[in-house]
Amino acid sequence: MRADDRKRMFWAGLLFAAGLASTARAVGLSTNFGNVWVANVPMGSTVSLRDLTGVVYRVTNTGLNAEDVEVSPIRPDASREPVWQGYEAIPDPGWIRLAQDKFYLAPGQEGVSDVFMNIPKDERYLGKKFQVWLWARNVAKDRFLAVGLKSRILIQVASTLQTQEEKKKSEEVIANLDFHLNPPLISLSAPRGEKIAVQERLGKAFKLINLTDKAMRIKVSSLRPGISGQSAPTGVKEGAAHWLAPDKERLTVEPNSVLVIPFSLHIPKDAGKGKFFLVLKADLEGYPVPISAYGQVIVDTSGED
Amino acid sequence: MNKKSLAAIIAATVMAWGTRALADAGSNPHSMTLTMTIGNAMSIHIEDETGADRNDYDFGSMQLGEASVNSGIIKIDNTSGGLLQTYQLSILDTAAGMIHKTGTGALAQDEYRVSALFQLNQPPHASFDVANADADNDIVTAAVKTAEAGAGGNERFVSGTPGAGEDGVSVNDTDTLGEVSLWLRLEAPPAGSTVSGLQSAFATLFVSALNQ
Repeated sequence: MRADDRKRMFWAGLLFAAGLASTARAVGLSTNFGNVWVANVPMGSTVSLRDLTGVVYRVTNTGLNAEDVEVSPIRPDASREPVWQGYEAIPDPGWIRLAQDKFYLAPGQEGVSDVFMNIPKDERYLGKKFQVWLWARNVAKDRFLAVGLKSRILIQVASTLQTQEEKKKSEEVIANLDFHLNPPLISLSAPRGEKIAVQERLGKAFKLINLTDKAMRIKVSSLRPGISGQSAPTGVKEGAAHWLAPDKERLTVEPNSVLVIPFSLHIPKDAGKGKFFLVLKADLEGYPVPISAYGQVIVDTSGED
Repeated sequence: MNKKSLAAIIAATVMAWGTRALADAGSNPHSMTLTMTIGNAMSIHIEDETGADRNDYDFGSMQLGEASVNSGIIKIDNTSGGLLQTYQLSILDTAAGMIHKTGTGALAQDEYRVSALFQLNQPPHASFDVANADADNDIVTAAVKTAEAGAGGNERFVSGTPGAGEDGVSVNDTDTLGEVSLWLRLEAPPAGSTVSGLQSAFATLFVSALNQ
């Protein structure tokens, strides 16, 4: 054989045989996170899953040799990867962070990390559902095969703009003020295609009670159902926000008194027959954190023409 | 309104509120708490034909311009607790002297290419078609690609119509179907390339599992 032939013949022995024969090194990973659903994640603050749920992310080296393992949040590529029905790819995987994302794990050893979530405070994300991967993988060096596990994290953002701290503060204030609408739910029958003054025609209205010695200033509005946890009961359709209108936008509840909040309904003719869900929102003004109370309305148009 | 009347209204509304709160606690924004639900754990393992762990593969000696399909079995084992898994493949190219080709067509000097198929038995070279425009589905790239069953050339890392659970898509974790075989076709650089000698640790192939 000529020398140049030899060079052509033995281009490359892609040899890993020594490693295989001598040690039969393992490659395998497991994690406690398969599909994970996290609901009501608040915006504007960092949430620790360990603190709020007591659950931590775990990854185990199921191989026979020590391994470097890395874990990264990854945005799903919707064109190549399955995204859970009703969810969309997270806009920025940087919203998710692990307390520790690199591990050196002996065989059978488990790496443990808290998972932090920080959803930006932005109305666009209210109640949104996002998917992100947590990709655990071998940091393979000098070998041909490595494994990874992509845990599917399904996040439902809270449907309020309040941060955790604001929510806590507002809950304290609400507990002290007893700020809520009475009754919490008004059910009524109404015709379609005409404006109805509910208190005048049907004798129904929401009330606010002020047990304090200070006047309360409130702003009243109609809210799109689905926001702030106000979702329609089973069998009831969500109506449009503009179908319900408070008579006055701004009101004052005098000390130690009850305020009636009248409102009107205008269900369009083409809404069809059925039960519709509407929401009235009262915001307490003059407090450093948003404090709101909600009144639900179920309108039955079945018997009306 | 006197205090007595006010107290009566409060008592009535508190009773009404209490009933409602019990029925509707989930939708009250002031009682909302973060909740977390975890599905099954997931796990993956690579084995050889004897069930021993495998993390390397030796393609042996090859000539320039030659292609080789692994003869030893590379088994991907779903060892999860009841989850269906679909596999993704990607390559981390670490070769100093060779160039990772990620598209179709003839290899240029010093370029190598890796294609992959999931199926039960070793496929012939022709099954790894890298000549047609729609055939790059079987080529492993640096970008992660997900195995996909289908028809009309849309399959990815799949050739023909392999049996259920053999194609790397929705693989369950039972003993018979929990393991799929991965076949890799390595195309060495063409004749005239400058590389020669032992090419060890030229790339790392990642097999990642996704939940279905």
